[in-house]
Amino acid sequence: MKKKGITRLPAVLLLLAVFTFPAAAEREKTDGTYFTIVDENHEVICRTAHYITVGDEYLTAENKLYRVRSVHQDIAHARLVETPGNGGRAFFQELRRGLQALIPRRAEPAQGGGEKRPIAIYHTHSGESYLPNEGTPHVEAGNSGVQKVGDRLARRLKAENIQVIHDTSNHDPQDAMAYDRSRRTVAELLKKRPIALIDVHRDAVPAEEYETWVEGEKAARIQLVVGRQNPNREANEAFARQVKEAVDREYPGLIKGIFYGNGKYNQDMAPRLLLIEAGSHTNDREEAEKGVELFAAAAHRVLSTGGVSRQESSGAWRALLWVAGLVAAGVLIFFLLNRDWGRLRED
Amino acid sequence: MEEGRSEIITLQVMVEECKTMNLGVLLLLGAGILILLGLAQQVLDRLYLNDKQALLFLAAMVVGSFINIPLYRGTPPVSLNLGGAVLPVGLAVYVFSRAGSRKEVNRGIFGVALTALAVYAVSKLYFFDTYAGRVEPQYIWGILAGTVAYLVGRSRRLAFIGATLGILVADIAHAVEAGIRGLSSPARIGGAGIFDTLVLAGIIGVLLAEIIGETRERIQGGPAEEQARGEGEG
Repeated sequence: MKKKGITRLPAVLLLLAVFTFPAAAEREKTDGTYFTIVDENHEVICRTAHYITVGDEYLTAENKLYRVRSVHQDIAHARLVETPGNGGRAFFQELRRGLQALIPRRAEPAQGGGEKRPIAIYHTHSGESYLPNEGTPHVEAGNSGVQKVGDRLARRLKAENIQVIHDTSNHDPQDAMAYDRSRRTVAELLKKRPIALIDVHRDAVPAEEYETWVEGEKAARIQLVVGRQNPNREANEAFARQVKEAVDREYPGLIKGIFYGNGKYNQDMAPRLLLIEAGSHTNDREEAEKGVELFAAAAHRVLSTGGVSRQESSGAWRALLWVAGLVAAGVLIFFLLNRDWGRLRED
Repeated sequence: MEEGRSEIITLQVMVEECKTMNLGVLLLLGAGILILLGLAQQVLDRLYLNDKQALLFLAAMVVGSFINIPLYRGTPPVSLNLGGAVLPVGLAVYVFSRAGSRKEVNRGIFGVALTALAVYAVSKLYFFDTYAGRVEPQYIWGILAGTVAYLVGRSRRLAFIGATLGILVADIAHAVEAGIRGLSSPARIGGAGIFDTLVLAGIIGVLLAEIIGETRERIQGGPAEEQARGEGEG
């Protein structure tokens, strides 16, 4: 009986871990707080409602890349790891160059002729809304704030003669399985062969974090999110960076930054799946709509062509190396676990 | 053989990627699918399927991923995916039907009920997907199901049954909840095919039970087992 108790210990510990991890995360949601990322001099880099863990990264509007070193309550301390042009990831860049030499170069995708593939827009958190307009941060029954913002984004892209599928599938009632359900929406959308997918969200921080003025008009800035835990990370990251570059050329600062969070946000389903935060629940919805209009005007070319494939491809190569390494490690562990120690000794 | 299988599933994506080309992305997709299929085959090995049957089953799941069977067209609409729900659930029921003793059957029913309850309760209590924390939310369900099932039945098979049917029941509960509240939220059960949480939970469940079981045997059962075998053979 005593032995039975001991043997169940690892399982019990694991179960506890499973329950305590999400419990820690949940704290942020219920009390309406958010995270603040600060640099070495305690200057604020960004504020976001995303749960921040050590290793998360943030690329600012000015293309400075910070990596989170420690998290104390709601403050995440980050260190500058890359400034524009300093080649902070020299090793990977060298590796990329080496691998690229092995891959035959391809022409950039045609921008005019040829078959046109649609852009798909959907909403994992289909109920997210804007307080000043909807009067609540979450509308469950459909026709929510983010769906209206998605609609505006779709219309602006259509004005550029791009085919757009705006999927307004509801993923409520609210619970922790929204991404598991929107995964099925993504699977449905993928059957329509989109060139890119955009999951439109909104953040949950004070309004000023996202407020900006463009050409004399008030607009809500946009934050891009890339999941760190997905095999398509490099491909999605390259795509996000290209989108940011395109918008930066037209409206510098409209893209607030790129957050590299601990999750996958279904980005493992496609190499060009963009998660965007159109303002915060505290912003006016019209500002968010203005924000995505400007975004579409500046980024439509990259979005509708899938960007320059070369860069994306090298990202995928890098990811492939990681996958190969992980598989090797997995095989080794599997081999060790399944080794017949008794027979080995006899031999 | 492995390449042949990967081709079926990525066909659609590959055709598209070939046009704008992307050898890296293609290889990455291929690698991801091979890993998933490799893991799935390991799992099927432990569920009364031999290698040939396992391959056929996987092929059927891959092809079935493209087929959705509508069950209800009202509010909310409900559909079942052939590869992502019908086949894995069918396998779970089959494995369950082969349970040897009444004790095993009771444990199985208890395990499924407990897993479904745990998955549904955790999904309602914790909104961690919004603020994804330390563990990728999609893996939580498999970890949870594998752990609960292992605690109840201490078997890989029960871990698979618990995880698969647990997610199914949680999905049904969600659809019922949406219906009661008059929400249009579609219940596309297993809708992401072989990439669906229902499939992944089953795989993670069995692998977790495997790891816990093997670790436990190494730590405690291992030496005793060796000794026993040595005596028997000697």
